[in-house]
Amino acid sequence: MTRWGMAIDLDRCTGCEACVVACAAENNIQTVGEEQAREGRAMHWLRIERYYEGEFPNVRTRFMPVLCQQCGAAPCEPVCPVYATYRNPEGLNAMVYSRCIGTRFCANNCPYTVRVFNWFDAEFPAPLDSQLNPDVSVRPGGVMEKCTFCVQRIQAGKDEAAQEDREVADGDIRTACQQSCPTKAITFGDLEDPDSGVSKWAESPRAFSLLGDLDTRPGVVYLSGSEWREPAE
Amino acid sequence: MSGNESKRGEPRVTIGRRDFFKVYAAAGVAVLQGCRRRDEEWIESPARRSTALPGASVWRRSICGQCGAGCEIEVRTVDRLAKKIEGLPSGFVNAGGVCALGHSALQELYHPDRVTEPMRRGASGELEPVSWEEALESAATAIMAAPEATTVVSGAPSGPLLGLWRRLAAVVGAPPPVHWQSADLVVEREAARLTFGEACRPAYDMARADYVLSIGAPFLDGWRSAAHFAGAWAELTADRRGKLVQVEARHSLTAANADDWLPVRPGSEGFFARGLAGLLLGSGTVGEEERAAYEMLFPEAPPDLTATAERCGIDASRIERLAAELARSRRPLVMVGGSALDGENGVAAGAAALALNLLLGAVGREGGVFAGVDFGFEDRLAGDADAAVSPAALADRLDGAGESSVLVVSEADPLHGMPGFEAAFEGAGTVIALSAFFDDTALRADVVLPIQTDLERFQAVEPDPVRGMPALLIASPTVAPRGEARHPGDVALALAAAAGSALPWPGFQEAVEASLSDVFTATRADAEDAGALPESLIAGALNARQFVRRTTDAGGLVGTAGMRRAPVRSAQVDGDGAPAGLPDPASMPAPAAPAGVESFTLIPFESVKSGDGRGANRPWLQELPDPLSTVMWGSWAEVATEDADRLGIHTGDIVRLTGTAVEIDLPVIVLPTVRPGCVGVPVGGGYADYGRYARGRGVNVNVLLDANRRVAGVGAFAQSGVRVRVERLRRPRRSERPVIYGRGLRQAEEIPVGWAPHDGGKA
Repeated sequence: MTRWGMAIDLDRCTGCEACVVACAAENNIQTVGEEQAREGRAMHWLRIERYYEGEFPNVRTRFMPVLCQQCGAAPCEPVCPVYATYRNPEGLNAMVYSRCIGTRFCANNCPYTVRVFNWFDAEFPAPLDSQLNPDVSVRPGGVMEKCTFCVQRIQAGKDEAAQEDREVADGDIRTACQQSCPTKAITFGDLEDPDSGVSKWAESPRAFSLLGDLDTRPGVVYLSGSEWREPAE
Repeated sequence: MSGNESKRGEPRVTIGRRDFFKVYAAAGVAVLQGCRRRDEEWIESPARRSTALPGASVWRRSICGQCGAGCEIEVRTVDRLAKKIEGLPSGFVNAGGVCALGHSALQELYHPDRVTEPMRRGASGELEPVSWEEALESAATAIMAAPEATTVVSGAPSGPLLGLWRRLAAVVGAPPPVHWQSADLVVEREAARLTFGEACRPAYDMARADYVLSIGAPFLDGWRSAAHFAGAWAELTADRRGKLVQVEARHSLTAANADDWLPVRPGSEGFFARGLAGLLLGSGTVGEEERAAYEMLFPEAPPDLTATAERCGIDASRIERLAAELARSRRPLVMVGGSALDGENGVAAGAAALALNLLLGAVGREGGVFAGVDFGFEDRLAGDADAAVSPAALADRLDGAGESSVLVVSEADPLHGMPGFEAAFEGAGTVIALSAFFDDTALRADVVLPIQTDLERFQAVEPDPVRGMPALLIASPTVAPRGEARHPGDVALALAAAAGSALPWPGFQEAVEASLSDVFTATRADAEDAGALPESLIAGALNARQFVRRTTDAGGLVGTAGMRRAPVRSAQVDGDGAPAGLPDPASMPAPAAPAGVESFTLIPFESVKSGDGRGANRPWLQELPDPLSTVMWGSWAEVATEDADRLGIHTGDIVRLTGTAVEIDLPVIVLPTVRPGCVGVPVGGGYADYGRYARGRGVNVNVLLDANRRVAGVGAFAQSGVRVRVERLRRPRRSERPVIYGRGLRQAEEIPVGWAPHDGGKA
């Protein structure tokens, strides 16, 4: 059985945010405008956390892309009164938009704060709507949404493999954020396949889980921790 | 499947692999959509049928035009509408990467406030729709009435389109056009000329270096090509093989990612480079030849460590450590750009920094610095026309030109970006703007001519020579143009025709093809023609027409000879044969702060969320948190914690920045990563219009710049080093509060819950 997962090498992430815009373009994520953004209602499915270390002038900044961790034991799922969010057989923490009634319990229970709520219907003034991805639904007001690991790309990858009468190969499916990354800091694939790129990254001694103490069993792996060492003479 | 459509992942087609050049086939398949000749229609027709399948995705190769880098992209189209931009994995410059600004080109294309029809200011004083013929006639009449008083401003990157504007200016009798470009490009070329003897943009082989010292070059922030340098940086630092040290007053995105950041005082970058040279010369690792080459350029003794540390405001031990590590590295490299070149001493600082490569033996060596070269298609299209001049010449030219003067502005917004230009603009007679939006210049123009955006137009560009190899990239339009928008090159040709000085081509595409044809003919006639193409490539084509078709089908041409060693300047280049040293930044006085008033050094910067302001009209980018301040929507001022404590300023307060005669009010963000005494403000705010997402949002920091401050030696505007006063005005009203994403920049120790080893994702 497949378990879709992602690995992000923080030592390669520059915080350029190309992935954030790529995600918005791929997934029809609405922009809410200055006033709503000021109220904390921006809708990004993927955000870049940034932290600084040290004190001026010996200061350094670290970046960390944070998205839905597609938890194996997702705190968001059991609190939904209408089962709008559930864990699918391939490890995706999925959303059924038409079932969601907007209680926002799931967002309240997500320790990663990666779920966002449509306080209003999305607006894409014509002809901005010409850009909308036909493979992704535009969510109505009152509905919760979050990263799907670009499930439409997963489906397209499966369809293509099926048409060619073969299995999905590692690297066939690339999420929008992964594809856009100029430093190749993101990899995606099947965590159950020991030969997949994401599995190998996950085995790195630099790998860790975000808020791992919570034992949410995330499908997202982070790598970090190496420092430059001057080569020996 | 048509020319620039492809099934994703197909290998690129190459034609002629031998010798010096090869035809460059990007994304694999032919670029045929733009073919107009009758005998090629059979190729085009099936494509129409294939793309007509409803709901089917078709990926088309294109070239991003959001900056001058020339990144190649793939555009997903469905039902003839562009849906998504991705980097072309085989892209010559970007190798699959694309930045936030590049992604947002879709929102430029489909912006609800695009200018899609020609407009002319009527009797009421308002812009009114007119036909293209009427608009062109108005523009041509004004130009013909005063050709010598006509100034053309082009924002096109160096390449064929700029060459066409040069040609237009020449044929109508106007002086050479103004090339609207970042000031540091002019400075960079001059610094390279002084150091290496060749006016070029240096090409840095960062990926193969093992120690990179970047003096001011914000290469991860968008300088030259963010996508290219991000990839090179990733290779440099893969497995922590190499180290990056950033020397820059501002904690830019590049500085944030550097292994070491040395926040020198603004304007002291050149002094720093000279002081570092002194340490390297004293390290015993510099060869005699390298020492002689360097001392020919800088015969004076470099400043000592103590003086360097004091002038630059950096702890001496950090400079010493840097010099020692550089001296021990196998393939060190020194880059220069950005703020180091933007000050009044920019040329001297640039030359001093580049010359460090001489000491380190990095000129023309793997992992070193090379001469960035191009094919020269700009000159080919320009013919005998004079070279374009830098933006600083614009104000001088318009000053007192009178009401008969004419300003033709294409893809540029000097009214927004040029300090002190307002008065000169007011005095101009007729302003003709070629723009896709009502930016500040177009909003007040007399004639507005709508132009196509990147994805709508035929493209032929020479990319930034970051790889050191020349290239001409060609792409057909990806989608149909909106409304009546036209290619700016086509408009230039139409203007020339309307002014009675028609050029021999009906459109820009034909001009480029004619230029390629000339190359073929010239090479056939003279195999020794150094600027033309090699026999091996030419021999593959039966005639010029076939050669042009093969080249456009393949997506352009690229040089494959590898990076070219930059020549080292000889002492005799200055004419009289006597050895001549370069301007020495170490002998220049430190910038003086005004007496009696506490002032800050203003650092205008380009955030990845808006570039030079071009991205300010896109909702994706407005709502994108700045990578460091985390601010969305609008402008802000970055102030150091130490300064804020002293002045009683808190994040969110409204502060007033006062320059020579102008003041701006904006919210402040207090950051621990700002050098005390500096205040950073992003460019790209305060547009009068520019569409609903940019209109009236933020402030334009360019108004604080001093038009009289110029970079010595080249006359470009000096953007760095302006002194401003900072004072707290008040707490913000609700609508003035900066929109800060999440909790902003936080100290790492404040992370509430610790990180834990990954469990392999097993449920």
